[in-house]
Parts: sequence; structure tokens; C-alpha cells
Amino acid sequence: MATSHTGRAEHLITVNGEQRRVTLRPADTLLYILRDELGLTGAKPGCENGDCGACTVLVDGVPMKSCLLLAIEFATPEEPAAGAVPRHIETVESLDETEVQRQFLDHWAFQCGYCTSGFLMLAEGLRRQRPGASPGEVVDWLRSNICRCTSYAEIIQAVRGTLERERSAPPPV
Amino acid sequence: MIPIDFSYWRPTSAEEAVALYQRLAADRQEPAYCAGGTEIVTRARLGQLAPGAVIDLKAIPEMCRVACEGGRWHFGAAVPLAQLVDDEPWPLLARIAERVADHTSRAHITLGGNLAGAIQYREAALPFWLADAEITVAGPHGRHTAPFAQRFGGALSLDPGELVLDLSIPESATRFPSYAQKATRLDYVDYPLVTVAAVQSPGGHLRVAWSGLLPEPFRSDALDAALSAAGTPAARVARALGELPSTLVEDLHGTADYRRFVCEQILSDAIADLEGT
Ligand SMILES: Cc1cc2nc3c(=O)[nH]c(=O)nc-3n(C[C@H](O)[C@H](O)[C@H](O)COP(=O)(O)OP(=O)(O)OC[C@H]3O[C@@H](n4cnc5c(N)ncnc54)[C@H](O)[C@@H]3O)c2cc1C
Ligand code: FES
Ligand code: FES
Repeated sequence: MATSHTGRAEHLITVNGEQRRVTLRPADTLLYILRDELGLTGAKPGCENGDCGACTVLVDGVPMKSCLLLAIEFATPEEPAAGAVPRHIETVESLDETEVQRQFLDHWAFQCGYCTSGFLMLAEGLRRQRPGASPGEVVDWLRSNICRCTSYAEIIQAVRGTLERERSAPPPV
Repeated sequence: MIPIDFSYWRPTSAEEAVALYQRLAADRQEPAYCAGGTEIVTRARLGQLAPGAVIDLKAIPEMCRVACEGGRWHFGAAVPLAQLVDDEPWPLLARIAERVADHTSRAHITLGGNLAGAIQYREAALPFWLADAEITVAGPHGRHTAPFAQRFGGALSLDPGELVLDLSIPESATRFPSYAQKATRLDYVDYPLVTVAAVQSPGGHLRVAWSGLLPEPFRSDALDAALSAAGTPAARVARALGELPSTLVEDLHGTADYRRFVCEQILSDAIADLEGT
């Protein structure tokens, strides 16, 4: 059976481990809702065209560009069907005190910082999905984002540092 | 921010999606199918599209699967390109798909969206032209399966309300020796100056499909015949270039002459790669 949504209405979406209640229109992008309705301004509007990656968030652990997503896709019913797992959005606000944040600081992997949250989310997605990524894979992932200040060399070092720490970490007990 | 309003629908079967489209269209709501949504969202933001209703195809299970059944590989139209690259069921498709857009955007862009979209490059179509592919479309008059080339001649020919369900190729076609190359001018991630997919079919015949050369993707039996005829590689490439249309695209990616020059290099490289010369 098709689900449908018309007009501005309240919905639940799962962000950074919390269910948040938000009023949205079906035509609202996820980027707009995160920033203007939920106050999560870490995801940045750049091109709003899929080109720059400043708006990158994780969706179920996968980096995605929030300017290209409709927020309504993430709405969960008040009483979800048994066994239904809501899709989980993570923004840079959830990366406080994490290894990837430390690596970006240690390597000075930013100048103005506008692109940084997008690169952090991309790097965190890479750490989780491909901790053993080859140098070529790292570059392929990083090509998704643009840094106008051209901090690329430092960003690559920070990402490599993150992956090295991940690979050398003792397995969870 | 998207300045217009639309309603959002998420059907769970193709028949339901088609029926919804018919109903919303009859109601003058100007419905649009949406898969990865990248083109719908960006063009609606720019005011280039104003759908009154968006029908999301991603909850239709048969459109989201890649499977080998009855000797054919099936590729659901709502499968994101990233999955075709990561799972690599068909190496040629993976090589072409991994150069469409960038890593993150490939998690959004779907196979059907790439073929049906207004952005004219439609690079994911190229391998299907070379592999005896079939395309299954659902519409108000039911489901129809046809040879891919009957429906795709650079752009998809779909009646209003029709949607692409899946594409399939014979399993053996995934093993044809193949070659893929994308040349870009401005940056590694970019629209193509020239993209080429080529295969050597079992008789040794070479088949080539192109994007970036003409306003839409292109292939030509005459060019393939010239490339496959007897002669030195250089003579075959020269004859094949003679079969290219006389007016190639001139744009910020390159002049027509530069495109012709790049084609020559790519074709020589393709012959060397496929024939081991
Ligand atoms: C950052 C970026 C870079 C890009 N780079 C490239 C590139 O290098 N090469 C290239 O070829 N393209 C490129 N594109 C273009 C992209 O492939 C197309 O815009 C494509 O349409 C996007 O697919 P989608 O699934 O997001 O489409 P959607 O936005 O969901 O849909 C696009 C159109 O197709 C229709 N549609 C979608 N699915 C179906 C279906 N199953 N049946 C019938 N109609 C359907 C929709 O109604 C709509 O009209 C790029 C796009 C972006 C955002
Ligand atoms: S703002 Fe989303 S990709 Fe640039
Ligand atoms: S640090 Fe300024 S855009 Fe990247």
C-alpha cells in the first residue's frame, strides 16, 4: 500500500540517535530541515546541487548529500509497523570527541572550515565502511567533496590517520 | 530550498505506481516519478520543474534488486550506481558507473534515473547497447519487455506514465572482453568530454558506444564494422573515425576537433586492450 503525504505536517525523524519531532513540507530538503527546523547547522549549504559535498551527512552509515534528499523520505509513523527500523541520520554534531575530529585538528585539515563538516562525515563513513581502504579508494571517496581553500593534502593526511588508528585499534571486547 | 509544494507518494508495487500516476495526472497534479531524486530535487529548486506530486519508486522491491535468473542478469531500475560498482555483477557496467558523478552522488543516482533523466550524458546506458539487453517497462497497458535499442536511441522513449522496471542481459554478455574509458577536460569528476564503452563479441567483432560526442549517447553499426574490418589498427581507427557524424559537440569541455583527436587515441587504446596488439 502506498504511503502519501500532502502539505505541511508534523513528522518524526531519527537524527543523531534521537527521535525528533519536526514540521515539514514534502518539498523540503533534508538539508533545510536539519538546519532551519532542527538547528543542526553543521551541514552546510554550498552549491545545493550535489557538487560540493558541504552538506554531507550519514544515512544508515552511508555518506549522502542532504541537499539532494527530501526530508519526508525519513519520516517514520507515530506507530511504526512491527520490526520496522527507522532510517538514521547522523550529522557532524554527533562527532564530538571522536578520532576523526582529533585527526582533522592534529593535521590542521581546514582553513576557513566551511567544507570541514562535509569532509568529516565522509571520513567517518569511510572509517566505518572501509577501514582497510587503499590510497586509491580514499582519493575516490574524497573526490566527492570540494575545499575552496584547497586543504586537500592535510585532509588526506587526516583521513589516512583516522584509518590507521582504526586498523590498529584493539577489537571490541 | 524548493520554492514549490508537491505531495509525496511511496507505492510498493509497479502497478500501484502506474495507477497512482494515472489518477494524479487525471487530477491535473502533474506527477513525476522519482528514484534517486537528484534531478527532481535540483531542477525543482531551480524552477526548471514543478511537479505537483512526486512518486518515489524506491519502495518497490523488484526495482531495487540485482539478480541472475534463468540465464539473465537483471538490474532493477531503482538500484543506485554505487551498488553496481561495489557488487560488480557486470564488470563493464561497474567501470562505466564508477566514473559517473562522484562516490557520494553514486549512492543517490539510480540506473533508471540516469537513463530517463534530462541530463543528456546517460553514461550507464552505454554497456546495455552492447550486450543484447532487454528493458521492461510498466505502463497503463501492463508490462512490456523489448530489446533495449528499441526503447533507447540516445534518450528513452517512454509514454507519459510509463516507468522502467528493469534491464537485463544474457549472463554470457557479462564475460565479453570489454573496455571503458572516460576522458574529462576540467576535472576528474566531470561530465564527459568523451566516454566510450566497447566489447569484443564472441566472433571477434568490436562494438562501441559513446557519450559526450553528440548531444546524446550514440552508437553506429557502420562505425563498428569499420573498426572490426581487416587491416592495421591505425587504418581501422581512421576508417572508424570517418564514420563519426560530421558535427560533434563544441562546448566548454572541448572543441569538435579536440573530441575527434581524443576519439582517435581512445579507439587505438581500445583495440590494443581488447585484441592484445
Ligand atoms: C553531482 C552530479 C553529477 C552527475 N554526473 C553525471 C555524469 O558524470 N554522467 C552522467 O551520465 N550523469 C551525471 N549526472 C546526472 C544524473 O545521472 C541524472 O541527473 C540522473 O537523472 C539522476 O538519477 P536519479 O535516480 O537521481 O534521477 P531522478 O531525479 O529520480 O529522476 C530523473 C528523471 O528520471 C525519471 N525517472 C527516474 N527513474 C525512472 C524510472 N525507473 N522510470 C521512468 N522514469 C524514471 C524521473 O521522473 C525524472 O524525470 C550527475 C548528477 C549529479 C547530481
Ligand atoms: S550543498 Fe549539497 S553538495 Fe553542495
Ligand atoms: S577549509 Fe575553506 S573550503 Fe575547505
